[in-house]
Amino acid sequence: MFRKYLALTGLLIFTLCITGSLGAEPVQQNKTVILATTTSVQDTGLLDVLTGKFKEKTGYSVKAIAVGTGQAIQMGKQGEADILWVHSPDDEIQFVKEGYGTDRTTFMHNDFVVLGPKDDPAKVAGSRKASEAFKKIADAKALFVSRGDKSGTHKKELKLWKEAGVKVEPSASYIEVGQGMAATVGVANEKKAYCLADRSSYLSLKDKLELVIVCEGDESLINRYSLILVNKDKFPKVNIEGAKMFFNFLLSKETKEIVEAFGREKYKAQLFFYDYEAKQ
Amino acid sequence: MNFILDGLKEGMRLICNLDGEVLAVVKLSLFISIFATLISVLLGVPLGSMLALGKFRMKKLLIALVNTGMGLPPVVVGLFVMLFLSRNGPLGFLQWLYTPVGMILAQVIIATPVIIGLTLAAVQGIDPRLYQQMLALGASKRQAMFVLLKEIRLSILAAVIAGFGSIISEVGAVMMVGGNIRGQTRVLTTSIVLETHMGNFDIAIALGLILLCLSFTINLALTYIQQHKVRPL
Amino acid sequence: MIKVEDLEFGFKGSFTLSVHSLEIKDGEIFSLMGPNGAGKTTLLNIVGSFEKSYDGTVEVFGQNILDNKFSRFCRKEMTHIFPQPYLLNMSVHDNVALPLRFRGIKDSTRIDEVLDFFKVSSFRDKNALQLSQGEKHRVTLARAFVANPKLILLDEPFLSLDPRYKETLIQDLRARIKIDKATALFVSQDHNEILGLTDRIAVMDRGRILQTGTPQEVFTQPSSVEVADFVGVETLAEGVITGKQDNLCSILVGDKLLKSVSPFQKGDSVLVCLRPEDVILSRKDETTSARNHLKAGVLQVAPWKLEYRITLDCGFKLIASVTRQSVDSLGLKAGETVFASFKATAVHLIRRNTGQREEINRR
Repeated sequence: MFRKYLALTGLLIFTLCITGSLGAEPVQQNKTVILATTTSVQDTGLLDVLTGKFKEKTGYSVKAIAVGTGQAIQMGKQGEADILWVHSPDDEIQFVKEGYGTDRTTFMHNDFVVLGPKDDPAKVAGSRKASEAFKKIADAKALFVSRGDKSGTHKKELKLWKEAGVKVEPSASYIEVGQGMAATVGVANEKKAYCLADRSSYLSLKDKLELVIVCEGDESLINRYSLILVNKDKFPKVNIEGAKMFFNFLLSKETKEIVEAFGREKYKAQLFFYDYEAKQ
Repeated sequence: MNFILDGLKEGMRLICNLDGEVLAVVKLSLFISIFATLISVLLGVPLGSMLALGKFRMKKLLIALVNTGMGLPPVVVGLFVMLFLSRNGPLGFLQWLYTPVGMILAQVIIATPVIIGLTLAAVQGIDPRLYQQMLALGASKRQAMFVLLKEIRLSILAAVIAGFGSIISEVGAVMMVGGNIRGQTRVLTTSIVLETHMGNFDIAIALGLILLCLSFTINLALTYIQQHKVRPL
Repeated sequence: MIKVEDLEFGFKGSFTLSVHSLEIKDGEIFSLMGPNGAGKTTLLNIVGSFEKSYDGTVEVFGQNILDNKFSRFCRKEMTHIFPQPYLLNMSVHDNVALPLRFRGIKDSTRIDEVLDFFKVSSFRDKNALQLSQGEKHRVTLARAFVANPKLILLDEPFLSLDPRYKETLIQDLRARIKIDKATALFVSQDHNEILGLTDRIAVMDRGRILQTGTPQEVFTQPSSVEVADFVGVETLAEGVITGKQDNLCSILVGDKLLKSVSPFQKGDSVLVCLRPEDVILSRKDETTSARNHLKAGVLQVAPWKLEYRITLDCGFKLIASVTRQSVDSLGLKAGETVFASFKATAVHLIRRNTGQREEINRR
């Protein structure tokens, strides 16, 4: 009896493996590319469009793992990803310097905006530089909501505070929510506070918010995205062929068109700006 | 308040239009949940019964392990499964990371102790003499166990229902092990997290409603089986 | 059918079950009798293969029951009835059908037959767990007999049965076992059950068999004080044999001389055993065929089931059993003087060795 039962369980697990591998995407090493990227790329929906297009064209399946910038970089450092698409320049440069990755290419950008309540108690509106805005917020002891999750957005925010010469720590006027963009903006909205958000997120959440843009356009608010190939020499298991194919695809004219057109219809504005000189 | 109503409206729209993406997510959720539950039951019920009926030295220790396993935080299981299945991990060669198979593995690890524990309790609740009585009437050990399991089928099915419930509602482990990849490893629970993360509360609520309906339908079927022909005492 | 040799089994912390030799023949109905904790149920469980960690040999159907291959065969030819009815949550019919199902027997005529025999046909389709205790017991018995077992082990099976029903059931059961040519091993504390059902008895106490024999032998000729006490011999008096003529002994008990038919010799120290039923009381000092005739003072008149127990003082304590009518007609009450007579053949002697108990197997 025990043998029959073992056989049944074994059969079930075997069937599962077969159907699992049939029903899902091909799991062979060659046809799968693991992309470590950040949530801000995924949240707009741009990532899905691009990976879909890429699959159509090449048959390659991109496993896009959208996590925080910190985790994405860490995945690269362990060879758990084939290609990175992140937006944290300092970390990226360090990453390549330490030999974990190659071919760092900054290829597109969007920007951040400083959001605040309509009545703008800290009188931020009109500031030319973002750091200036932040200083005003600190001086007025107005409430600021931070993502606090070591994401690209969070790191940008911390950089701006540093530029403004302000030391931040949790207090009655500075709270860290440790969550994604939508949640952070949501809290700021509820509490009529200031926060830093990427424009794409703001545009998609605008209708539900009473917050407005109080500072934008400053050079320091630009958010640049880069691609990095994970170093095959260091991590032999990396699918370098697949990674290169996706890399080239993202740096193609076709992608440029997709990126620049993205979101225009929905938000009546361009969300992303393509910088790379695409050759083909 | 408005967004809750929006959510309900969106939910109805998605369901009525049979939106392609939603269908794919639902199909995958069902596939993973049902398969994982089946395997967990096939492993858990016999192991639980054998543990309850057997006599061996390490029995109490094993039961303590099972009880601990019942309370394992799913997200911790997910973390360890992910690390094990990763390229650098000992099971990396299986290439099960970011695939539905990996997610089923994680779910099975989470649900099996629950089913073992509940089956164990159910079988231990039977008067031990009942097992002996069945043997005394000429039953083989297998026949006796079968008869006893039928006798406590209410409790056994409760274990199955509990196992299924914990699997279909799980989000942490499947997120980590599956990666929430669109069209590949995105299930209802991880979709809800994603949509919420993006601020699309209406879609998140809609998906939540669909998840609840699915869960209810399957549990209805299981309950019917459980309560079938139960004579009032 | 059953052979036990040099069996030793230790209870944790308590006494050891120790049976040097016991044999139960094919077709015999054998009872184990004794007080609580005597080891009767344990012995039954050992024979039934539910207790396996013992020393010694137990053979059933001619083979050692510890042999694994044999035990499967054994199970199918044997059935074991426990004091509690272990029924399942299904109809009476389905419960009784279980042994047939386990053996893969499709023929279900036997089911109705046993349901009828044990008078539970009317409950055929009722949920077994909804029956009264007594009804459940009858279902359990029906279930045990449905597969025609050759060996039946019964552990106090008549507990909680309606006494009116019990009598007929015991007779029917005995008839059934004999017709089926089955062997039965039966544990009980109830004398009436044992007397109605059994061919032979073993009296047990503290893990040892004290005496084996027919009910007649054990009840009227107990071999030791323990057995005597257990079988209901209520008069026990110390005496010495002062004379013997042919088979007739004269025993000096206190200052009275009693007569008994016994093989003991002059000078032997004995214990005189007398069953209360064998003592006849009268008001008149008249000679009867009984050789023993004593004057006695009534100490106590106490009701006992449907009769009365009279405690008498004849120089030693004598217990008599008397009907209610006799109590009335003799005007028995404490303080009165009566005459007690009993036959020499009713007086049973046990050798008395002060401070030691003997295990005498009279067969």
